[in-house]
Amino acid sequence: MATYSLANERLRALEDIEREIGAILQNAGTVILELSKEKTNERLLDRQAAAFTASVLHVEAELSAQIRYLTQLPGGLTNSNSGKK
Amino acid sequence: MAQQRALPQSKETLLQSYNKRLKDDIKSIMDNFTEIIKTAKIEDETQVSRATQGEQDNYEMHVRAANIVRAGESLMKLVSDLKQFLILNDFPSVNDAIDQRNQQLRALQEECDRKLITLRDEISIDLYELEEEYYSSSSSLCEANDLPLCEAYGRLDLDTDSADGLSAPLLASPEPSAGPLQVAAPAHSHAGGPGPTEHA
Repeated sequence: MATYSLANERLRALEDIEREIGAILQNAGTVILELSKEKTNERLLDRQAAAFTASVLHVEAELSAQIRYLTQLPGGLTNSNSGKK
Repeated sequence: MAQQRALPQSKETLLQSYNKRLKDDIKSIMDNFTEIIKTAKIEDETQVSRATQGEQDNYEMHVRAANIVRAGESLMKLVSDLKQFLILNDFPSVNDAIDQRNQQLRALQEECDRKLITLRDEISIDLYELEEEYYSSSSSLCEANDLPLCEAYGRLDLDTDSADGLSAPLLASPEPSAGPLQVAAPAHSHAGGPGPTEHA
């Protein structure tokens, strides 16, 4: 639903991060598999290793941003009326 | 008032723990991957025999690969916890989403009202034309016993008050066993039984 896009935008971003974590593990597996071969394809190795590193850094940056956003949320809304009489 | 804007202690602690978990997992993935790549390097000189060194490297790679997978699963759990925290605590986004939904539904309501009003106006115009046609035709063909509809129903009301019951002669299409008066009668009288006797 378009009306929930604002609330769901961050949830979709987190889902993308989940997919990227899966891609990280897959890239790592591809690199190790390629290393195990007698004749390694260096280009594929370099490409996969670069993709692995970039994905890891990207995931770290995105999750840090999400946690930073959560720290900026207003908290303690239930206490807003505690001082009023 | 400043306290109300700051996060509660428990939430701050929770978010700090999220940060720590993130850094630990990312570090674990990178370190274990780097060590696997280093272990894959073939060395000419080894302290133990090649077979032993090979077994050791094999075992080490298995453990490091398992560590990478564990760190990946821990990251997935972290993402799940972040989603849960977001759903439960992201009030600004939820409020915005609710406001947007309200606006959308109000717009829909106004559109429905507009359409209903248009429909009502069109039906009233058609009804007016139909009534015009009916009364102009009935006025030219009326007989002494025939009455306009409004007067016919007016007579029916008077007859029901006087408890005569049947108003068959007043109706345009008199039927001895059925009539508008029997609308007020119990429903079971229409089930097929003899009508007039039940209304006596």
